[in-house]
Amino acid sequence: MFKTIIVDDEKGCRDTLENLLQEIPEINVVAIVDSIALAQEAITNLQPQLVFLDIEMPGGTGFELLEKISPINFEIIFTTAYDQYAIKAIKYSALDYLLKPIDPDELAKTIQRFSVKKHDQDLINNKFKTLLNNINGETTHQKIAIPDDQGLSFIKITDILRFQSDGSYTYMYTVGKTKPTLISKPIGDYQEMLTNEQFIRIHRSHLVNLQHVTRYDKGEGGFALMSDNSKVEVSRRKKNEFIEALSSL
Amino acid sequence: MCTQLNIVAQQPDFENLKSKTDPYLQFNDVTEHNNIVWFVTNNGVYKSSNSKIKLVVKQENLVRFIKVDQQLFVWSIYGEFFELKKKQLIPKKFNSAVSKHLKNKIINSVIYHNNTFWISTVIGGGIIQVDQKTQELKTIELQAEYPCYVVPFGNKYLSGNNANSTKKQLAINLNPTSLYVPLAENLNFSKTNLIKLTDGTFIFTRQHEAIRFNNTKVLNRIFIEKNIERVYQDREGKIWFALNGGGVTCFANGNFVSSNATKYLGNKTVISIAQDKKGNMWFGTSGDGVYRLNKTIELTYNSPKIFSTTNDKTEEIKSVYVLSDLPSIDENSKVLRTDLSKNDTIPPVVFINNIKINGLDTVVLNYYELNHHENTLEINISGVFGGDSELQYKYILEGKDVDWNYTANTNMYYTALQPGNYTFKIVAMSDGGVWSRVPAVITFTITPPFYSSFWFIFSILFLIIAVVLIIVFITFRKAQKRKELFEEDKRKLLISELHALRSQMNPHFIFNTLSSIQSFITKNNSKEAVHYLSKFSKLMRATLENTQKQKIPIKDEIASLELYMDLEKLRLNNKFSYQIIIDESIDVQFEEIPPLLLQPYIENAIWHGISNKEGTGIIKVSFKLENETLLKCEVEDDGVGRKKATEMKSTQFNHQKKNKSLGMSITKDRLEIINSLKGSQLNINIVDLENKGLPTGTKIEIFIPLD
Repeated sequence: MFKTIIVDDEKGCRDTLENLLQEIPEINVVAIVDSIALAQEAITNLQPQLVFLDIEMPGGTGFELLEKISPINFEIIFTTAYDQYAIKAIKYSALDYLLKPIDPDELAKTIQRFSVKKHDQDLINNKFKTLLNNINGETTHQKIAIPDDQGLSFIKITDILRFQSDGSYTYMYTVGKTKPTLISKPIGDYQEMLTNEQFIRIHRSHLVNLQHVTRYDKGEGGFALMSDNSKVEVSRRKKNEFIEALSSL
Repeated sequence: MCTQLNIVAQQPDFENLKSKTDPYLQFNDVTEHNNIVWFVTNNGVYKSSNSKIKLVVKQENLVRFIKVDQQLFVWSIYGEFFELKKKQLIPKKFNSAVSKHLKNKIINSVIYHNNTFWISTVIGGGIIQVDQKTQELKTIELQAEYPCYVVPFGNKYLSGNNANSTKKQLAINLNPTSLYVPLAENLNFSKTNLIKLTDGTFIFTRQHEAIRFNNTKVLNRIFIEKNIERVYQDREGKIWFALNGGGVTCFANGNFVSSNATKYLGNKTVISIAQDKKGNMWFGTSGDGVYRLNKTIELTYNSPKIFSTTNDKTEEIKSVYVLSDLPSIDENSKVLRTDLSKNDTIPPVVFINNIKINGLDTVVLNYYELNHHENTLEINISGVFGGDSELQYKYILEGKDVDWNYTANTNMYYTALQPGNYTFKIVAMSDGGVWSRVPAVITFTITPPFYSSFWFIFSILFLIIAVVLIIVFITFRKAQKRKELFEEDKRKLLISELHALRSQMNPHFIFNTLSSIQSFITKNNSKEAVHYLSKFSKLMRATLENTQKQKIPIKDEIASLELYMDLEKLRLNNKFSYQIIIDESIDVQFEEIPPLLLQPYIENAIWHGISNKEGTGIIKVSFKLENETLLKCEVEDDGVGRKKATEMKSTQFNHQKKNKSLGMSITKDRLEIINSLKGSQLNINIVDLENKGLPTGTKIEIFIPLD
């Protein structure tokens, strides 16, 4: 049984979530609060293991709560109706979130993931640090959590040269490293996440950071030359899109 | 053929008569006979008549007139003699000995004196005397192989020839002794004159030289820049020199005389001179017709005395005068006076004798303008000085040669000269080591062919630039237009995407779906209610997000379609099931298509194919790669078919009616715009499915370009 607190300013949302969580035996909702201040108090007093935290609230966003509590020795599942910017930041930090209205199936899946996860305090701290960095920091200092054999590492997005798919695995090439990092996730996941960060899928196997493209060599599709002097094939069909993206940099 | 010359120019004191049909007529000789002025031309004999000159009789090769006992004779270069009588040329017959002697000879000069013809010939140089009346050959005097010149001399004659073929010397045969005159060059077949002056002295001319002598010694030698064609003494005693390319020059009492004659004749080539009884001077030219000058106004220059028409015994011949550029002789610097007694220290003088351009003789001018194929020049020069030794020359063609060339040769050749400006300069050096003071200079310009002339190149360049500019302009305009169209298409696409959003956010769909969910709630089936509400919110979210993008991965589009069909299934109480078939070769994450393209067709299949059908139906949505860049999407239903659906629509009020056509037409528009943006030509096919003539559904094929 995980001690759980629900933080949401809307009554409907609190009630729905409470109802849905009643169906899940691992969860024990110990507090339901409607503001950041009360949440801080509840967390301090009750020491929960899990907090459902609404992002958009009057009197401060959910993220502000994170800045007030230290150390964060619990997991957070963010809830939001529609906040693309926040969702992006959460995704980069490899944190969990649920979209409202909440799909009971997804809720169940998320809880399932939570319950089997090792709760490593350092990792949690790093995730939140990254999240706060991504929310508050400069866009050029955005970081993304990359799963590796150690767990997760947080890489500056501007340091990523490109991704190359290998079946359901992906190689990530970063600045200053001759060897790529092998990631146990398909390239599409990163395409989804990074499309708005000047990454472009120029080939079935390649997702490149436009900032690191130094040259384009003509050919049937052509080749993108990267800042590390690697040469990446461009799919014939992606050629125009790629050139257009390059020229609008 | 020319028969008449008319006045082409007239001043109070002169007339120029010229043939319009044959302007290049050469007037070899002119004389007055029976108060009429007669002319010998290369075309025949002409006479003057009332300010006109008319052809009398046609005959070629005539050289000069000769007066024989009040009769006018003409002789030809081949030794034929004609008497001019009543507009006819009557050949003079000589006996066989004379004929034999003159056969194959070229006649140099003929005089008639003491009832005798004195005929000197060039080839087989010699002089024969032929009795006019008996036509008999009186004497033959074969002198040398070189030309002979003959003039009356007392009761005898005076003749000249080269004394020695190796020496540049003229021997004047003053019987019984000879007078030797040094010459600038060996005698050759060039035009010579030998006349007797009224003071009893003689003048011999050849090329640039004129030598005056009496029976004992040479009195004067002068050199004139232009070749001397003819020398003539008029009744006032003035001596006229007709010059090739130099008009005329005249001396009176040893001084230069400038007159309207020198003015009008300028640099023309004058080849014959005569004075009529009225005192008018007649000048025959080569190429400029005939000039008649009335009594000339004369200007005498106080130059060093060059010629004496009186036999001035006190004047010792010790000087050589070189005259150049005669019309402006008043500039003293142009008269070069050198001392004969110091031969080796006399600066030699160089003349340009002849210039052959592409092998053809030309009149020597100071300046030539040649076209690009007139590029082979042969320049023949003469160097003269007091002595009789060989001269050395140095010459340069500025514009081609970088340094002076040294030679003893008097012919210079230049071939294949490139277009440009050239100056040819030559100076001579005597064996005493003295150089000419003034070089002989000719300048010429070879104009480039039209295709390398400045204007041509400029024009071509201009044309090329203009064409390039026009092409650039047109291309720019086209690009601009294309860009405009492109922007317009993009704008249209945006609008149509908004429309697509509207069609997907079809109010009927939204509110009826919400109604269906509401029914779960009223039935206390909150689980189903939450389930469908999640789907509904996901579809709304996806629609909102996807419509912000030009393209989404096929995966996302399929997810939306699934949500949509799930919700429609709910509305229609599971009246249909669906299958989504994706070809294995498609990477649904990688391949992207414009969002919301297919939904209207699925909506149509559900509401017009399936909803009107009895029992349940199935909708198959499939994605295939038609080729590498073309995705084929099919939406197939097993509904009532288009025909029946239309019938049913027309008979019943159907809330979907309007929306159906709108949604599909939006997709069609969007595909058209996408095609226009991509330059592809694709369409939407509607296939009516049949089985044994009965409709079994409808299949829509939508082709979407992938690149």
